Amino acid sequence: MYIEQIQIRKTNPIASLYPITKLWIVLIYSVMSGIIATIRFNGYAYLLFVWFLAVPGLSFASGIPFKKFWKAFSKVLIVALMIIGIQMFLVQTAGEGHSIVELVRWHITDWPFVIAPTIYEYGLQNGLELSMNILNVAGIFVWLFQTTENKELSRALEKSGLHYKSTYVFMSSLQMIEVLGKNSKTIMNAQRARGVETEGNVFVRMKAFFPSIVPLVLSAVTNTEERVLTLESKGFDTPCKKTRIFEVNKNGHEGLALGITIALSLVFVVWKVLQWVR
Amino acid sequence: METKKKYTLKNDFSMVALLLIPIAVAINFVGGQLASLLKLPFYLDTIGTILAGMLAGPWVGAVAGALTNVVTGIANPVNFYFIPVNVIVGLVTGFLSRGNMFSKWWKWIISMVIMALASIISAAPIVVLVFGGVTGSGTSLLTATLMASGKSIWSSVISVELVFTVLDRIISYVICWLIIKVIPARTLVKYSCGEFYISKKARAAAESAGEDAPEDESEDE
Amino acid sequence: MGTVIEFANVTYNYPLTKRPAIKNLSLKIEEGKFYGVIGANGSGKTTLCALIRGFAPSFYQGKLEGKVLIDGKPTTEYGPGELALRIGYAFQNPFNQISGVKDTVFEEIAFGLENFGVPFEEIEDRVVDVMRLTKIEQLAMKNPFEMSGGQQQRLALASVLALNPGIFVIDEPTSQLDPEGTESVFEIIEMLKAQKRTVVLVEHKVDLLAEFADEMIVLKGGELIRFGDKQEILSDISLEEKGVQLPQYAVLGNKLINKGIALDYIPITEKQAVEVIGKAVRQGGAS
Repeated sequence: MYIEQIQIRKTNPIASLYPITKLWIVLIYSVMSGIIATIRFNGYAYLLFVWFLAVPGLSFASGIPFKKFWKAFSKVLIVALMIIGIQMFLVQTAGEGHSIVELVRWHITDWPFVIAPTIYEYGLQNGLELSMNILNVAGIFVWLFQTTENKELSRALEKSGLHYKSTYVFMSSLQMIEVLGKNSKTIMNAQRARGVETEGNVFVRMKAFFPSIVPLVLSAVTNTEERVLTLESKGFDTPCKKTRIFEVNKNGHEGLALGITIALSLVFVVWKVLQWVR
Repeated sequence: METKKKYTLKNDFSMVALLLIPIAVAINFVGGQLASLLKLPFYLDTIGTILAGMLAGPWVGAVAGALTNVVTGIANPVNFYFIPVNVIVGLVTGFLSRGNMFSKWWKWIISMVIMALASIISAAPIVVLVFGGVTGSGTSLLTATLMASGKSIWSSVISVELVFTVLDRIISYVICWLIIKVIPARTLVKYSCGEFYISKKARAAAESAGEDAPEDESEDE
Repeated sequence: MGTVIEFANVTYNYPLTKRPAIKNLSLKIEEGKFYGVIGANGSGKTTLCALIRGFAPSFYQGKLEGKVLIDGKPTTEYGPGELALRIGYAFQNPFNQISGVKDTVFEEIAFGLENFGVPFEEIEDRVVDVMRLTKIEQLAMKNPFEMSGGQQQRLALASVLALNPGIFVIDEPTSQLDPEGTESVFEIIEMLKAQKRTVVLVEHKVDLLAEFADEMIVLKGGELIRFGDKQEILSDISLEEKGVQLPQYAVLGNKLINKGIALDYIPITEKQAVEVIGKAVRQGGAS
């Protein structure tokens, strides 16, 4: 009864794909993004946009609600936009010997204090490539982590041979971040109550950092000792075959999913080869 | 005459060291969080890696560093790209620690120089080649300004990194060293590089006190 | 009833210390009995527990002279994790007794069983049994980190109990708990006694020890100063000079005797106090 309750059951056929299969999809997708970036039309890697469509496509097909997707993705989008912006306004050429092509140059009109920015073609092309690459790779990882619980990934990796102590360290890190994060807020409030200043110039704020972090680290490190004893008592060190009550299984569509991924990738590989040959 | 200490992966990755890794990851995370809460102009997100490297050597430090970026990458995949940077911090710190390079002030200076070089060599290429100079953090604005004034991407990025990353590391190292000073000797002894940090004073205190048992926690004050 | 734990002239030093934490200690612990360990802070109680469980010297390092024998075999000769199945260990800080990787109480308890390779079919029943015995079944799906100290301590004991060890070593389990938590933990300890397990309990709350213990182990400065029948030891007022706190009823009993009131014996529990003082009062009234 309880063992059943702790399992994770998903209904969406894409979201419930075996985690290792999803990892393969992420890998193939990312590598292909790098390859597609080199297929240029007049210097622009338009196909990267097409490739990118897989990210929202997969995400919505997996049943991820838009809000959740946006929360993670927007962080990456901001970086991408910054990259394009900086590149197109500031990066003029690929280096010595390459010509500078200006795409847009606004003239200073009757508005005396408006700065007239120039958009450089090389910067725009380079910026698009860099930022689309990042969006692609980051985007597919967002899909991965929003359709896969850490627990599932951990179990699948263990099944594929990852040592159980490694999965423990991984899962424990996630837990510790939460615990220490909570403790740090408590400690900082306590320090504030004692009169440690947290506003003011840089040096004042620096001084507030130290007493907030030291007790945290100290107690965490000394608690580690007892936790080692606890783990030993729970057979962590005992070399024997471990039973696992949490299971992750294939849902049967893995072959199809990988097949589609590889097929789509081949299309672009062929395209690249053709372009290269011509 | 002391024989040269032999380090093995097995000794480095003792249970205490293994359990130190999640703590190191969490400290990296919390450090970064606190720094941005206090609006400090530094990242301060490698304190955990440095601690792991100092106490348990380069490989434990490297794992702590890599794992930090893997875990934080789950929420923000941009962090995946910087795994090598954190790994290098761990490796360099660990090797320096094995060489007992934190015991005298002049050794510190050498260590800091090595660390600075290593940081820049690992971070700058990633920032330039993958992100074109802009990572979305506060320093990006500075980099952009430098680029706007005509400097090349490489020199802009390296100049900014030189100042901020190096300062960040130095402060992180100092904080780490101060933390290690207050860790009791009986705990330090359990880590493969821990002995270097047991000061003569602490050693004498431990010997004369005699009672070093963990039960002291139970005192009702 | 045989001897399960034996200390043969044991002296132990923690690393980097000159003064031993335990000195020339010899005693025998018999199967099925309940032992209370008392003594001033720093007298070696936790070290005693660590020695029984084998953590000293294997984890704490340090120097061990003499032998600590479990079922006739020195602790140093047991493999990693072997002693965990024979001796259950619980200590003060409930937070450190949680594995930290499971997000339900059920899985936390099952963790030990998983690691020892217990067959899949057995796990659910064993965990449910243990949850019922420790009265935490209603918390089965709760996240261990979101529970109170008392609940976490019960979880720690449950996790240990799931491995079904014959010997329990428990080091001040209630020091960090509120009265409600303390009571719930002592209910579990009462159950362990009813199951006739061998229990070694370190506790400051002597009144509770007086209820449960069969024999007492008294330590001072790392040495064994008294060992034996609880009635005799817990009523001996001279022990207070040696840093030992007697049960309040024993203190009361001693005071009454000093005032000239005759008691059949010095009480150490409430029940005894009522009986023996009541009798004295009646006799006094009658004369």
